[in-house]
Amino acid sequence: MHRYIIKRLLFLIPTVLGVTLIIFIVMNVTPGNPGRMILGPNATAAEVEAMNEELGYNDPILVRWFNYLKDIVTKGSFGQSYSTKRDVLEELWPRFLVTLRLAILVLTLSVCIGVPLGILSAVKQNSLMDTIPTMIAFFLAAVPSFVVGIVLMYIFALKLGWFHSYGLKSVSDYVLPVVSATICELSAYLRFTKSSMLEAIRQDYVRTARAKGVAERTVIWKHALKNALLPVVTSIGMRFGCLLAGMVTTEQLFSIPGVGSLIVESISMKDEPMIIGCAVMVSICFTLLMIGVDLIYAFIDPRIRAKYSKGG
Amino acid sequence: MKKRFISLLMSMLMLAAALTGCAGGGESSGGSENTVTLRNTAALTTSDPNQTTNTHEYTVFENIYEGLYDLNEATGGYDLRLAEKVEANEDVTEYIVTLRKDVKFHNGETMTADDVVFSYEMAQNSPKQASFVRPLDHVEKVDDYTVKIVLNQPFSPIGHMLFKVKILSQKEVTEQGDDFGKIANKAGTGPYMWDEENYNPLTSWSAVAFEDYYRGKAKIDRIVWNVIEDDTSAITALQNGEIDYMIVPISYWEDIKSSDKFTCVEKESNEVMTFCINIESKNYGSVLQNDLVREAIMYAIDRDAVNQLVCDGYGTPTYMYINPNYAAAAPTADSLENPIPFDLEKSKALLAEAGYPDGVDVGEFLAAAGRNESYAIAIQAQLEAAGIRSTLVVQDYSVAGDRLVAQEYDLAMAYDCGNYDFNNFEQQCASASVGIKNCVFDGPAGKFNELSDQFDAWLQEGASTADEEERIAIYTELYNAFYDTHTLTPVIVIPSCIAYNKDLDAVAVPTDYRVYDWSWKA
Repeated sequence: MHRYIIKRLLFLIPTVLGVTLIIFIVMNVTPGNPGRMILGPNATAAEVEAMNEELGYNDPILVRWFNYLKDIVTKGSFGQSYSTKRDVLEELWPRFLVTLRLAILVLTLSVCIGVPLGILSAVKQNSLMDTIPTMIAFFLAAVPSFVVGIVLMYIFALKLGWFHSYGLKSVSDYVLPVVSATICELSAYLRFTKSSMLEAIRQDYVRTARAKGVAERTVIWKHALKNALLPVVTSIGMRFGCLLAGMVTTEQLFSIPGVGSLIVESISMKDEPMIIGCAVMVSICFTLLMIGVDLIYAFIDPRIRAKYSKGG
Repeated sequence: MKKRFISLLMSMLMLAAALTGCAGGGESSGGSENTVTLRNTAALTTSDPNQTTNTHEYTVFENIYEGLYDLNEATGGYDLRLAEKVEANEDVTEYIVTLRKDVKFHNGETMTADDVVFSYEMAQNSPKQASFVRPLDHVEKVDDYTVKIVLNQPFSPIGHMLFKVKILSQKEVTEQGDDFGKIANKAGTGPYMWDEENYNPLTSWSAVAFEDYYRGKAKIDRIVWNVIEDDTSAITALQNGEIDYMIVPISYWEDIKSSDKFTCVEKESNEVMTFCINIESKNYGSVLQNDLVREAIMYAIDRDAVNQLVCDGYGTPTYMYINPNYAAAAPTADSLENPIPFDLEKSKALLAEAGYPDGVDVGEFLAAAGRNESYAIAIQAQLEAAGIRSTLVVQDYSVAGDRLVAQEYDLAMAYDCGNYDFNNFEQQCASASVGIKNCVFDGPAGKFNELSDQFDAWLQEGASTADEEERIAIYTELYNAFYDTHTLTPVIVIPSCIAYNKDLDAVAVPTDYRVYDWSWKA
C-alpha cells in the first residue's frame, strides 16, 4: 500500500512537468505582451522590450520552461505575479483555501442530497419517488449556476435581506454561493448514483441474495450499494477536482476571491506565472485527490484492500 | 458498510466546517454612522500610487495620497493642495513651488522639500507615470519648504502633473523597501490613512480619518471598500444598504432611479468613446487611406442611434475628443467647423464615388471585451448598412490594448478618459507620444506627414502660453485639422450615473470621489 502511494506521489513529477510545459506552449502562441502588462500603456516600446528581456520572455520556450522549473526546485518559488508583483504562492494560497472551503461544502452537500436521492430513485424505479427527483434533477441540470445564483440573490439577499450579496465575511455568507453551486452539482450525483445503483441491483449476486430471502434493506445497503458506490466515489473525486478550478461563475457572481476567478483574471492579464501557479496547484490537488479516491476504494471494497495488502 | 459511508460523509462535513471556521478577515459593511462603505470593482494590485494606471485604484488612492495640486472634478480645475503657491518663470520652463509647512505624513513625519524631490524622482522612474511627467526634467530643493520644478520644454498646462504625482514620505518608502506597494503604508498625506488592521487587497480594506490632517480631520471616520466585481451583486448590495455610494451601470439605472432610497445624479463623464481608422493598416491601408472611403465611414455613423442602443439614451453624442466640461483650454462643440452628421445615402454615394458601388471590405474591427464591445457592435452594424464590411474581433483588454499600441488593427473602438487639460490630446497627435496612440500620422504611408509636423507645432505653441484664450484658439485650429483627417472620431460621452444613500451628503463626481467632502446628515 505504501509503495503504491509513493508510486502515485512520484507520478506528480511528470504531471507538473507536463502541465507547466503545456501552459508555456499555450501562452507562447496566444497574443499578449507581459512587458506591456507590467509597465502599462504609457511605457515606451524600448522599456517594454527591456522588461521582456529581464523576464526572459524573449528566450526560447524550452529555456524559459527549464528556468522556471529550476526556480521551483532551487528557490521553491513559482515566481512573481506580473500584475501585483507579489509572490505567486502568497497570492494563490489564500484564494486556494477559499475555493477549497467552497468546494468541500458544495461537494458534501451535493453528495449528502444527491447520492441518497439517487439510491431512492433506483430502488423505487418508475414510482413517484423516482420520477419526481429525476425530473427535478433534469431541470436543475439544465439551469446554469449563474441563473440559480441570481435568483437566490434576488430572493434571499434583496427581497428577504437574509444574506449578503457578495463576499465571504461570515459563515452565513457561504449559504448563497454554496447552495447555488450545489443545486447544479447535486443533479449529477443523483443521476450517476441512480444509474450505478440500477446496474448493481440487476446483478446476479443481488438476485441470489434476494432468492436466499435476505431482507430487502440488507440487499440494498449491504450488497448493492457497496458495489454501486465505487464508480460514484470515482466521480466524486473527479468532480471535486473540477470544482477546485471550475467555480468561476459562482466566484464571480458573489465576488468571492477564489482560484477560478484568479485563473480567469490572470489569463486576461496574461499573467503567466500566476496562470502556471494556479494550474500546478490544481493539478497537484487533482492527483492527490485521485490517490485519496484509490484509498477510499480500499476502505469501501475489501477485495481491493486485500490486493493492496498482498502487493505490499 | 452504511456506517463507513456515513463516517466518510461526516468526515467531509467536519473538514468543511473546520475550514469554514477559518473564514473571515473581511470587514463588516459599515453599520456605524460615521463609516461609508463603497464598492471597488476589482482587487487592489498595489498600494503604491506610482504603480498603477487602473481607475479602480485611483479612486481609492485619491483619498489617501495627495499631490501639490488636487483635481476638482465637481467644479472643474485644480486646487492648491500640498503647495501653497506655484509660480512660473517667464518662458514657463521652471516653476517655483512653495510648500505648506503644516503637512504631516501618516507616519507622523513633517513633509519637506526632500520628500517632494524624492517623490518626483520616483514618478520619473515609473513607466506607468511616464505620460504625466514627460515634460519634467528634474525637481530641485531650494530650501526646506521650496522646490524648483525644471521642465524640458516650455509647458504651461502643468496642473495635471502636479496633481498626478503624489508626494510620499521618503522615510516610509525607504523603510518599507521592496515591500512598498505590497502592504499598507503610512507614506501618504491625505485625509485618510490605510487601516493596517484591515488591509486585504483581494477582498476588503479600509482607511481611517487621519487625526493630524492639515485641513482638519474628515467628518467621516472610516471608509470601507469591498471588492464586488459583478454588477448584479453590487446593485443588490446597494439596494440592501450594504454599500452607500456607487456608479450604477446604465442597465440598472431606471430601477435605481425609481426607488426612493437613493439620491441619484446623472452627469456627463470624462470618458469619450472613440472610433478609430488605421491608415497604416498592413492589409487594408490602401483602402483606408482613400479619403472618400473614410468620409463615407464618418457619414455612416449614427451617434444618436448608438446612444439609444448602448447607453439607453443617457450618453451624449459628441464630436469632441476631450469633453470641454472637464478639460481646461478645450475647444467647444460649436467651434468644430466640419462635423459630419449621419447620412446613410451620402455614405453610400461617397463609397460609390470611391470606386466601391457594391460595398467594400475594410478588415477587422477590433474591440476590447466588455464596454467597448457594445459600441463596436452597434457601429459595425451601421457601417455594414452602408456597405462597409468588417469582421468584429473582440479580445481581452490586455490583448486589444497591446494591438492598439502596436497599430495592429484596421478599425477599432477605444476610449479615452482622465483628460483635464486639452494638452493631453498630445497623446493622440504628437509625433513623440508613447503608449496608446490610436492613429499614427507620421507613419510609412506618409499620408499626413506634413500635418503631423503641424500638430507638433500647435501643441508646442499651446503649451508655451499660459493665456487660456490663446491656448483655446490654438487648440481649436489643431482639433479642426485633426478631425478633418477622418481617422479618429469621437462618438459618445459615456454617461456617469451615480446613486448614494439618501442620508449621505456626498459630492457626486464621475470618477474619483473625495470622501473628505462628504458627511452623514444629522
